[in-house]
Amino acid sequence: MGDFFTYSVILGIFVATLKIATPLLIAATGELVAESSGILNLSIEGTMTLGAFAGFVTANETGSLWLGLLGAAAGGGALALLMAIMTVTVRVNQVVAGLALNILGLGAAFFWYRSVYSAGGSIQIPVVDKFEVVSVPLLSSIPIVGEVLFEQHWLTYIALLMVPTTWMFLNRTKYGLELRAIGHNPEACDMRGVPIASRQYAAVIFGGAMAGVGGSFLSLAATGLFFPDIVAGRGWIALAIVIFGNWRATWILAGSLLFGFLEATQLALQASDVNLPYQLLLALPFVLTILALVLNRSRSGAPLSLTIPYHRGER
Amino acid sequence: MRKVLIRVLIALAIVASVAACGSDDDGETADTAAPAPATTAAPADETPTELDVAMILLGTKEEGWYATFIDSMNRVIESQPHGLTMTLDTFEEIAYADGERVIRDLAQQGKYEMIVAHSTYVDGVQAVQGDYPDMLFAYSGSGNDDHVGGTNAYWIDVFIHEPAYLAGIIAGMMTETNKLSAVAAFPFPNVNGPLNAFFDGARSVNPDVEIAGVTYIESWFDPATGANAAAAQIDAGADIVYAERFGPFAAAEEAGNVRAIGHFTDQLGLSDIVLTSAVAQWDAAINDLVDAWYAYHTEGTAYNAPGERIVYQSMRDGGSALGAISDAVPADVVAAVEEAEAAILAGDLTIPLVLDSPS
Repeated sequence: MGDFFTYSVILGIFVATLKIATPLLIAATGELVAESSGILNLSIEGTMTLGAFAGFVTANETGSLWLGLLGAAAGGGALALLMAIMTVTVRVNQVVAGLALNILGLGAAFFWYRSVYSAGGSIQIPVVDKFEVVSVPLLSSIPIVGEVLFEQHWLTYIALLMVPTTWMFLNRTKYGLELRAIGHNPEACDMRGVPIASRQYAAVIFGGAMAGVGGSFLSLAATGLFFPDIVAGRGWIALAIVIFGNWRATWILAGSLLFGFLEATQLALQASDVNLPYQLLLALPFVLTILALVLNRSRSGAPLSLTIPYHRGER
Repeated sequence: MRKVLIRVLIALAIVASVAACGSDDDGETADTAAPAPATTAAPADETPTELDVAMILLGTKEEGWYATFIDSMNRVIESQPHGLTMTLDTFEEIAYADGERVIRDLAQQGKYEMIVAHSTYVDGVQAVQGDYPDMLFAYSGSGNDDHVGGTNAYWIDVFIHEPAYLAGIIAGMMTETNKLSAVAAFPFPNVNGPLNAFFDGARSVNPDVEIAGVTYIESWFDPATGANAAAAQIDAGADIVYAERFGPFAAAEEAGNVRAIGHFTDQLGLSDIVLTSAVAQWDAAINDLVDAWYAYHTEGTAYNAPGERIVYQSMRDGGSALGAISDAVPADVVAAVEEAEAAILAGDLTIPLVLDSPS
């Protein structure tokens, strides 16, 4: 077994950290916007899976990875539209609706996959030419920092840019502040004339589209493959990261990077002669999430009306 | 008075319909009850011409473990054993916990004569096998040791350590860093067998070979983590990765100058960086199952599944084979592989099967 403390291994951990964090960060940032409007969308796992396939099949059919990303956003957004109809218009219980749509998303992705690629066996494994790693000119030649930050996939750059963008939107724009106000007190917003339903629809659909794009990172950038289990629990981790990040964009970035770092470290440990139980590192993020939940209980950033359906004129 | 009459008529109609259902049931059970107790006597008086097989899978048909079985099944179907017209229906993404329910549903349908629970569904098979003594059940993989079916439930398995050893010869001769690695699912015996043989094969031609990591990704189906695991090994110096799971090909393509070995199915077509594959073949196992089923239904030969695993492990028995070899492999390496392959087939070279985690 190889040495752990070598330049390429340590550098590799940081490169992998960003790569592993990317789908989590994209999905969690989208979920932050949705939850800010007061709608808890628990169907992220299914939405990511549907997005991963919608992106994959679009890229495979059209030969364009960028159209694939659009397809992924559309697939995720479509499932989220259903979520919005059920929770904003019909006002069913958000937890129940989210769990139901999660199953629908997983099932729809599998059904769609099987209706496009039906043969099975070893001959029929569909593959796309995945996104290449993009070296940013000049910046990527900076030692260490450049190699870690500027030798990544397009989607990683997009994910990182979405963090300040989302922060700006939620904290510095009228529209974003109104969205957060809806999440805290929809009644007051309604009296001020802020349209509740349409804003919630937009936020939930945006969240779904982001989850779809996050899922498509796995099929279009990380592997070039699609399997119905490809998301492998990352949707649930993204939900945990929103809680870990206490509903703040910057902390969600930190949470995603922490998850990515621990995963990257355990993979590097397994490839080295350091004898540390890697299972411990696999469990650590969830322990930290619970810890964050406990520590933040008195100053939770959760929208006050999260999961509470808004009925005009009722109290 | 009229109302009473109507009620009586309705009541009569209900009784009649219930009775009708009852007689239907009787008819059905009468059909199936007759051959039920017969485990040695010939249960059918006509020679069967069709065999419909159902297969339940934990994942999807493309995943290696299942794909290789389907490939073999397709070849067997093509060969029409005993002149049988065979069909295969697959039922994907069946969780372990749902195994018994799904197996029972399939058995009840009456269409399927053979049910292959192609994973560790032994509990489900055991719960159902006694109720359908005319049907043949099969389950596969390691990890069934605590429960064994027997009678009409066959535990079949393949080990592919021999072709993995041959792939190791290729890797040992072609590595430039002298560091090889493997990305695998769980530290299971079935998983470890070929990994150990791969490294043994490499060491047999290149004593300097080191293991740059054997990573268990703790999942059967997570190619993205498979890719990340391979990337970490490549950072640690590995230049040929044994891909027990999907994912490492992507990392090898991204790294450049890194090659990979496919597992279970012939994966040469999946990526340019694949050198060869250690392929599992279930043809012999399936043919034996079909023979047992056919003998039961024509000659009344009782099912005699042993209470232990039947392993089709050697290349000589047809349980495994080396897949196609890439053009990137030099001729002298191919010659070395062919020499070792011939020795294995002739019985002159025995590849030890080591089931512990490689070290």
